[in-house]
Amino acid sequence: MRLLVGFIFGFVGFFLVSVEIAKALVRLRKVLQPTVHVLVPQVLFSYLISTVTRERRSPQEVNRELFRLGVWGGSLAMLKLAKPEELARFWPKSFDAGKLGGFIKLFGSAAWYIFAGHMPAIRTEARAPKLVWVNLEESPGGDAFYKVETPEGVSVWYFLAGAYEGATLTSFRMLGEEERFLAMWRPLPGRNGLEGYYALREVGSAEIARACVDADPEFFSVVSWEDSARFAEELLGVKIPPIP
Amino acid sequence: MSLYKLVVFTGPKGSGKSSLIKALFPELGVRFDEPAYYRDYLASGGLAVREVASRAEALELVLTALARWRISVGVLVVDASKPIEGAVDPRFLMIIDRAERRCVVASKVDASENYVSEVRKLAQERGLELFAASPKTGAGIEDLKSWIITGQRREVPEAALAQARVAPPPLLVDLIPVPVRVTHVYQKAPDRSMLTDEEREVLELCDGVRGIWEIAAMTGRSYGEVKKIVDSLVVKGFIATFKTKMA
Repeated sequence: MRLLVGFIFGFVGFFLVSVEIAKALVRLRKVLQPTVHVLVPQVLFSYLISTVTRERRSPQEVNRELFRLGVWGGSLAMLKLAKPEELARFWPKSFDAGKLGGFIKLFGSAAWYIFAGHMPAIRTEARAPKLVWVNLEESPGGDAFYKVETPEGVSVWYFLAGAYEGATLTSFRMLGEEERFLAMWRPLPGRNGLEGYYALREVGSAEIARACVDADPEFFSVVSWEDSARFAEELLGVKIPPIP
Repeated sequence: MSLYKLVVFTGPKGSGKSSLIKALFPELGVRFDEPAYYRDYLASGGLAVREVASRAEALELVLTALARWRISVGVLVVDASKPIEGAVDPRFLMIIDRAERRCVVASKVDASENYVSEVRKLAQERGLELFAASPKTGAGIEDLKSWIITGQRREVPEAALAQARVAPPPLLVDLIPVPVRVTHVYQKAPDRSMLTDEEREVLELCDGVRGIWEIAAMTGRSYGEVKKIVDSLVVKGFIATFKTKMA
């Protein structure tokens, strides 16, 4: 009898220890994984693209709508995840292309890391007086919510460009710089990434648009300056002056 | 005794009867051409929806048969985007006068110019319940539907009017700003004196249930304008977070 009781206690003890070991292994596996689990966001993002594709007539219109949805989502993400005082700590007091580049690299990378789970490569350069041009290229390999199959001509990068545009315009608002700064983002041509600018409004919309087209002649081919202005006003209440 | 509750829609041609029926009962295969005399649809919940033609001879024929109609709800639809003087044939009123409950619906109130005041005058003169609705934006539709089914109203016409004047929601998802709640004695409440009048007005409407679009409708501002004010409230520490809901 004593032997049987001992055996039962031993078995239960072994079972409990095994469960704890299994739990620890699950935690370890989660920690060692290169990115967060992305399957559910990927499914939801695919569903979003399917819905928009069904509602719109051409891939261009789908891309434009994805961009619009991105603007809204990016603004929300910026408001929820960034604190105004944290942004202000790194924001240059006056226009300084070098310091502004540092700010863009820091927060651009942080935002990418939060949503994609890996760091991008960001390059900034002063392309015109008081205008900083930005190239953001993703590091290959890592899985992320936006890595889903899309129909011919539809690109997830329009959603991401819209998200960066919405987030950047919202960050200007949080910094009290909405009346002074403008920013626009578009997909990087031929590569996985984004391109865009930060500029003082005083540069003028015509000059800014010229700098964009000089850097990438197709910059406004799908989402025009007017589209950006319309989405910014409709969704965020940000006024972007038209090109004269 | 009929198994169905008869709801009769009447009103001038082009007043939006078919669109209104479709907006109220989306499950119905509503036809948008003029009926010969009247057209019946069976809706869920034991409702029979009858759309009466607006032609004079159709109205004459309907009036001869009217004594046999047991109308529960009579709905007179009037296009509020145009002056109503001379548009409302007395025979429309004779039809809905047979109903147990009667109303006049000022339709198309989303139009930039509207004549709801004239419709209100008609409602007062004839003792009709007044509704303002827009099948295009959905404003006032739920209120009217609730009244048709239960006899209870959900909102005053002014709320529907205000809602109809703003553009439809820009997205299918609306953001609900959730205000900061002071729950501990040591927690310092944000200083309201730093708010502008418009920020204070919007903050009063942020109850953790209303979305930005609803607040826009209530204040007569655009979605973007309210978003800007809400963002400012976030920065000033009055909004704790956002929730989402269907717009």
